[in-house]
Amino acid sequence: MGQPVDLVQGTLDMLILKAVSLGPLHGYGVLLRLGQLTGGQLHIQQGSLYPALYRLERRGLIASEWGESENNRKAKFYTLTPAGRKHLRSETTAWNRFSGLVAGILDAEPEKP
Amino acid sequence: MKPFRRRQFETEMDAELRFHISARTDDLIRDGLPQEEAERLARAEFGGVECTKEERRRSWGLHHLDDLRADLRLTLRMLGRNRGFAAVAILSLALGIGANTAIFGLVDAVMLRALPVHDPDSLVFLQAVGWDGPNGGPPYPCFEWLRDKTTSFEGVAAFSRSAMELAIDGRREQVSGVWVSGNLYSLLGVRPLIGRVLSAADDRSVGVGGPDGPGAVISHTYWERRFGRDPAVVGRSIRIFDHAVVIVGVLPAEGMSPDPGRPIDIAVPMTLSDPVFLQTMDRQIELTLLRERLVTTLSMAFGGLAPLLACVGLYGTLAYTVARRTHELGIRIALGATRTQAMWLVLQGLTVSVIGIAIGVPAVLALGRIIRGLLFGVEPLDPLALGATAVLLVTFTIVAGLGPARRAGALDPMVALRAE
Repeated sequence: MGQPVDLVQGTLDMLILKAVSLGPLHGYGVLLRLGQLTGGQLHIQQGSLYPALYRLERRGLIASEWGESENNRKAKFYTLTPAGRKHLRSETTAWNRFSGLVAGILDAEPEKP
Repeated sequence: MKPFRRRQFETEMDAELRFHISARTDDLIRDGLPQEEAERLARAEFGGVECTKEERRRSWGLHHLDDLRADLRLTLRMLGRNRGFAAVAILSLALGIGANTAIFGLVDAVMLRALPVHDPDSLVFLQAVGWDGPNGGPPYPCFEWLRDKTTSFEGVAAFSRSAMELAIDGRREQVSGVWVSGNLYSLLGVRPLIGRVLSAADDRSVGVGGPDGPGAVISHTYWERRFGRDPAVVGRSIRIFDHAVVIVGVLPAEGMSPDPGRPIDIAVPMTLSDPVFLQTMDRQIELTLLRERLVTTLSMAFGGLAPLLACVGLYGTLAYTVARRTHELGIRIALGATRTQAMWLVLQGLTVSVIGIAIGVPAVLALGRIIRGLLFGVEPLDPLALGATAVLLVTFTIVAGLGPARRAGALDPMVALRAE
């Protein structure tokens, strides 16, 4: 396992949507889920997580509800809204196209004369 | 956002962030860190809690509210320090409101409001028909001829204001009265509150009156003031210029005379007055009305001037404030205040006008009695006039504040900071 990788600008929102799409999560849970999915290789600034969550909630892509955490404490759980699901789908498509193109460029070999 | 919802917003946000840090602490302890170290690390990893909260408030647009509150506090403090300025601005606004409302009431009564008759549009005033009578108007017989021969009008009626000497139960008093032709009220469509209006029959013969003998009608105001709303007033005999007259009805105060804005206590058929003075629509009335119109126009000009002066005063105060706060504004902008925030200086003017209105309206209410006396019985507390004035002044204030505010927004921090 190498150095943790920093997040590419603008991808945090997409990752949060994906994490929440797998089941309701509280803020800390989002962090754990992303860590678990990446084998701890992705470094996410904890301070930037909540502003992102609030932004998404404000845009109506996720919804929040108070519930009980695993160890019976009150926590705020976020779930994906239908609008969020749609948004995630289009973001995923766009991201896949984009990363494919970037990979294609980076794999380019010098042309043989 | 309502205060209690704001409090809920804050507690929920606080609870959520605290949960995060304590959950992280628990995990770190499970990883083998001592409690204190785990707490410290969890906090450090999270970063600025306040910063996150502020971010969230911002994403909900709450910072506008917070900024507004802070600006308002600063404004009030500044006003407290500039008591003289604040007092002048607030007083001029309060006066502006008072004067404007009062004058609007007068203008409304004299010029804007249609006469309370059934068809004000078809009403025509005639003056100086034929030869001048003793008071400058046409002689009474001339009116009679006109009344009986006219085909162009539905009817012709006459009225002439006069102070009248009444004797009620042997006690004499002077009231403001109007001599009317018997058909005046039926022609104008005025309805009696009790009893009946005067009719054409009431002035059929000079000095005698109608079928019930000489009759007169009184206004609702006079009925209230002099007779305590006693319904038995109808049929009561009083003396007018030492002639016995019977009160036949009570009319709404505003229907007593087509001469607006002047209270009339009693109306008596013209044929009961001294025949020498009998006349129609005399020029005197038109002249008096002319004078009143002039007074009204002048008052209206003054009324317009009052808020204008208030506006100029406000502009001065605001411009002065911007000039004095140039240095501070420069620092604010240099530290990242947006130009819009600097423009919130308009707020200062608004605060002044709100305070001015808050003082002006109760003052107008308190002065209502006096104003009413000055305004010939016009109701000065017309809520429409009061509201219109308040809205007008707030608009004026915003306009007055815009110039200085724009200047504040356009400040170059470099120049501003050097301008010490």
